[in-house]
Order: sequence, then C-alpha cells, then structure tokens
Amino acid sequence: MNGSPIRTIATFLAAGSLALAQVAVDTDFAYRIVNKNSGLALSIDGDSTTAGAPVVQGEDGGTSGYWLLMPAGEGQYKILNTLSRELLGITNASTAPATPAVQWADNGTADHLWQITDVGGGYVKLSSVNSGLVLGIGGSSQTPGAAAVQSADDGDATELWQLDAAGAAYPPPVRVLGDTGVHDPSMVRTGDGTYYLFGTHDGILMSSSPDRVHFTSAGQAFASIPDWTVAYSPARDLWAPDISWHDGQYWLYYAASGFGGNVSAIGLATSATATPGSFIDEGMVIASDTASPYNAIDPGLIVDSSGNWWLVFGSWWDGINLIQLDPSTGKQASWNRTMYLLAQRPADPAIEGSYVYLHDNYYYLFASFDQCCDGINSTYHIAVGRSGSVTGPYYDRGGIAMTLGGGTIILSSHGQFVGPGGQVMMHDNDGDLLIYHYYDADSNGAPMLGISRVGWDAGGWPYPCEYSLGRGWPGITHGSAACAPSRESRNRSADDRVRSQYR
Amino acid sequence: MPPWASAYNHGDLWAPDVSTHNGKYLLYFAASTFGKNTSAIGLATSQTAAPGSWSDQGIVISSHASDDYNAIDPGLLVDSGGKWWLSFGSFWGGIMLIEIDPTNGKQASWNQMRYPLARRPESPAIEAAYIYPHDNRYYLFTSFDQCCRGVASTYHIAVGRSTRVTGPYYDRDGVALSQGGGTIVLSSHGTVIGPGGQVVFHDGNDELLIYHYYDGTNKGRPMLGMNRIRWDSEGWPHI
Repeated sequence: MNGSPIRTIATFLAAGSLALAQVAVDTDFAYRIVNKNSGLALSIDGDSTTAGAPVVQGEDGGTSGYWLLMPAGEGQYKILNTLSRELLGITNASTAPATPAVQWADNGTADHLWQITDVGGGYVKLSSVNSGLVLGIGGSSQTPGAAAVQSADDGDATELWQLDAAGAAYPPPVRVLGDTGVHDPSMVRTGDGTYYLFGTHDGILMSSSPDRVHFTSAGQAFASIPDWTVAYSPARDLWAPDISWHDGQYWLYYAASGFGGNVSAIGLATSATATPGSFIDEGMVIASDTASPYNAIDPGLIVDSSGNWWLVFGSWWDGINLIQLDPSTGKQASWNRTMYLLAQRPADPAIEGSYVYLHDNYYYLFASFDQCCDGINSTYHIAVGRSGSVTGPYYDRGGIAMTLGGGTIILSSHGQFVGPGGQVMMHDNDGDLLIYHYYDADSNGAPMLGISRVGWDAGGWPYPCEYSLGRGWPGITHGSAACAPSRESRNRSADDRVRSQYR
Repeated sequence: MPPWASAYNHGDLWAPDVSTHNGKYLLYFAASTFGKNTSAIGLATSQTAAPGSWSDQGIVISSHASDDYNAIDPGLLVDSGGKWWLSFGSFWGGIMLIEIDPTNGKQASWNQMRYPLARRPESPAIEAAYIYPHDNRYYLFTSFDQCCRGVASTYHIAVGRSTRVTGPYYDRDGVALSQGGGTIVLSSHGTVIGPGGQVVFHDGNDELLIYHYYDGTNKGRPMLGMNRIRWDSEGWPHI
C-alpha cells in the first residue's frame, strides 16, 4: 500500500494488558482483518458495492479487504468496508448460528454493532452485540471466497482475527488556523473575497477569514436575538445556520429549539452584506411542536435546476424532510404545502444535519448519522444518497433508499477528528468542499471547523480527497483518495460561476 | 356534487371511503379524471349516512400535473394510538399517507408530512391502498397493474406490513414496498379476473377480503368478490 504503515493491533495495546480486554482501536487507520486459520482477509464477495453482498474471506489483492473500525459507544464498533462504504452485519439481523455475514447500509440495526476483544497473541475476536455470537469462516474453510458466518464462541482459529493497520483511514482535513471553534458550520465567500463562517450558539456566531485558512472571531449575525424565537429557545441560543447568496442578498436560515425536544422553529434572516450584526430577521418559516412527528431544525436551502427553492430540515423524530419555498419571500410556498420525507432510519432515529447539493444532474442528500455533542465520545458520521429529483426518492450507492436507512458513509471518526457531522457542501473556486465540525481529541473534544476537499468518482459519488497524498489511503472505493485530475479543467468554469454568483 | 369538484371532474366522483367516528359518518371521496393526476380528495359528513344526507366539508388534499402523486383512492385509518391517517394514491409516485386532525377530518396542522408508503420503480401501476391493523402490525394492501379492462385486466392484490403506520412496509421476502415489494395474496384464477380495489372487513369472527373482479363468464363485468382471510404462523395473510 504505497509504503503505508503496516502494524498489527498489538502495537496499540498497552504493554501487559490483560487477555480478553476490549481493544482500543486507532481510528487513524484502515485495517485488514485477517483470519488466523486461513490467513485470508475479510472482504466482500466479488468486491461488490451492492447492499446485501456476502462478506467472505478474500483473495489477496481484492480491493474490498479494508475496513474502518467506527467507535459506536460503550466500547462497541461499526465495521465499515472502505470500498463499499457499507457496514459488516448479519443477514436479516439474525441471532441464529451459521447465519452468513453481509454488508448493509447503516440503518441502525443492532447486528451492525461489534465488540472487539483481545485474546492475546496478536489476535482478536469479533462478537456480534445482537447475537452474542462471534464472526468466523463457515466450515473453518481455508478457501478463498468462503463465507463469513456468526457462530458460537468456541475459540477455534477460524474465529480469531488479526487487525493489520494498512494505510490512513481518510485524508486529513485541509489546514485551518485561528478561531476555528464552530458547531454546525456554514460558510460563504463575499464579493471582496472575505469568507464568513456561521455557527451554532447565541445570535449565530461568526468568524471571518481572508483566505479560508486563518479565521478570526467576528461577533454574531444578529445585533439582537429575534423576540419570537424565545418561545422556542428560552435560552436565547440559535442553532445550525445555513448561509447562501441568491438574488442580490444573503439568506440565513437558522433554528430555535432546545436540546432533546421538538418544540422548534426555523427562521429566516437576510442581509445585503453578510457582515456581523447586519442580518434583518424575516420571521418564522416552519415550526414543530410536541404533536409533530418531525423537528423543525437544521435547515438547508437548495435551489433546484429549474430555479425552484426548497428547504431541507429535520432531526431525529421522523427524520429528514423537505418543503418548497417561495423565492420571493424565502417562506413556504403557498401553492405547495406538501412536506416530503427524504430520509429516515427505521431502526434508529439518529439522523440530522441534512444538506442537499446539486452536482451533475443529481441531488445529493448529506446527513449526519448517530450522536453529536458528546465531545470525543461523539459518534457522528456523514452519509450521502442521491436522486434525480429534489423531492426524492434518494438512494445510497449500495441501492438502499434513504427512507429505509440508506446512506453511503463518506466520513467518520479518524484520529483526532472525532464525530464529523453538521455538514454542508460549498462550491469554492478551487472545487467542492465538505464543511463540517469535528470534536477535536487534541482539544478535549471541542467542536472545530473541518474542511475536506470533495472529489467525485467515476460513478458520480463524492469522497473526501486531497491533492497530494502524503500517505496511502485504501479508499479503493474511489480508485484513490486523490482529487480527480480532471477537476482543474472543470474548475475554470466553476470559477466563472463563483465569480458571477458573488459579483 | 360539491362545486369545487368541477375543477377536477365533471360530475363523476370516485372511490368512496365511509367510516363512522365520534358519532357521525365520514365519507372521503375523489374527484379526478381517468389517466390524469389533476385530482382532489374531498370529505363529506352525515349524521345518518342516508342518501342525500351528506354535507360537503371541502377539499382535504389535491394534486396537480407538477406533483408526483395522485390525490384519489382515499382510505381513513385510526391507529392504535388514536391518531387519524388518510392513505391515498394511484400511479405517479404511488401510495401516500397524511395525518388527519380528528376535529375536522382535514390534514393535521401539526403534521404537514406526506409519507410515501409504496411505489413500484419499474411500473407506476399501484393503487387502491387499504391499511388494516392486525396483531400489533399494520398491513398495507394495494392493487398492482391494470384495472378496468374487463377480461384483459391484470389487477392483483399485494400486501406488506410495518410496525408503524407511517412505514416502512416490507413484504414477506423483506423487500420494501417503497422499492417495489409486495407479497401477492390474490390474482387472476379461472374466470375470476383481475381482482383488486380491495378492503379488509372485520365481521364478527371473520376477517374478509372484499374486492371486485372482472367476471370471465360475464363479458368481464366487475363483480363483488369476498374471501375469508387467514393468517399463517409468521403473521402473513392468505385466503
């Protein structure tokens, strides 16, 4: 792997750690999961990216033989294939012995949770939280292609695995400096080249930057918090802003709510300049109350290819929803009161922070799965699906509808960058950017600005990339983690678009 | 005929759904035109259900050419928690569900969501939804393929189920109804052609599947069909 570091999991274990201790995984790395009995690595049958494909022990050289170990809380992990971006699970979440393992979307079922236990000698066992059974190879086979199954824990070599670190889990985010503390970021570049970063708290916190690298705190969007929001946020704490520029002004959608409840509202403010304190409140767009099955927070504006305006929003409860807006007011369209269900995880309500982005005739729905706001214990990660229509249905790359828990995972915890989420997409003059927060393990889990360049693979799916790879990344998913070379030519026209947009 | 309905149809109302709640009768009905989705579902109420006794309450939900759904084939359901729901839909984007305010029979102000329950990505032909609660689950019955062609009709009845009325519904093979799933419970056999347009009716100790079929012995005329439903050990209905 390009001279990438190859280490075994034993490297990460404290010297003299007791046998049967739970393993603390270094999430900086992708791993090969090698069977002790066969020496073959856990892989996807035929290197398939389709949901439901069997998990097998693979031939050497298979591109699907790399996995990320995603902390899922309580010492449990979700095990993500780096090629398919789907999770290791058990067919139909069965608890019966001999049931084959499959890959599936992160729909929240318990068969995706695993405990990794050190059994000494450089080996671990992988126990299904759902069934209590351990992962092995059926019939103790040593043949490539043999199916992985769950079985009773009887200590056979076929149920023991070696975790070999094999390259970086993700390219690191691009470097940012200064006042980069932020939660639920959204960013815009103004006509004079100044970047304004907006984030959760108070009257919407702001930072500015001349170069998208150096950031300085710059006050708040509102000179004073709109009175009407206090009914929804008694703490006078506004959340999850979404900034954009259309029709000669800046549009700032924001949320007023309280943590854990759905008495919530989305408001709109506008400004001619986007400078701190310049935003004029336009009032409420949509609200929810305890009788509502949805939660009116986390707004994101999307203008479709026909010029229609839409607002995506939602958090927990029934998931991610969409309404149509009237471009003349930024409020809900009088001619279309339908609320469209875009995404939902039937087995786990933890989906929020959505954003819809138009790219090459597809609408891409990005969402944050699992738990925010718990410092380095946060389990947020970013998943995506797409649709030819802004109202859906959205499917992930494996073929699962996002209303059924589908979502291709493109970014999760790695090293100090814990729990990435609360994301938006931004098109800047050097290409597409994923803008998010992560909980910084090097700063006691404080939420910080993450910016990752986004490449688009041959199938039109986004992935975090970097221009020059300092280290190998087995993101074979996408051929490589390098940004596609063709993007330079594309950028020229993109530049023109950006210039005209901010003129 | 209510005056508003003339915007959607000229004198022919469809697919009525009658139920009784809170001491009065509710009649949901559709105004549409065959093959189009310029449609509306209306509500009328009556104290007696007698002919001519119904007073129109106006439009519940409408659809237009730019919409991905068709506001016909209404069906009211009261769930186990006492919430009211209206299923509807035909062709276009499939079967939809909205929450109803029990005080007025219209869409609930606190829930403007339209839930997509079932669609067939490879064929738009799904309609006539009916949701039936059984043993802590909701069973969604729909008619697949083509009605209304006499002996050439290809209607058949499929079912899926969910623990929540808003879905997701899955068929017996685990395929989501939102992705074309549906376990077939009744299709053409002998002179019983194209069964569909079904409801499930609980009558005493019997649960009955009530539908129409096109009679192969009578020039394909639509006739009333009725079969008892039994539930297998895994909780799937069969006749």
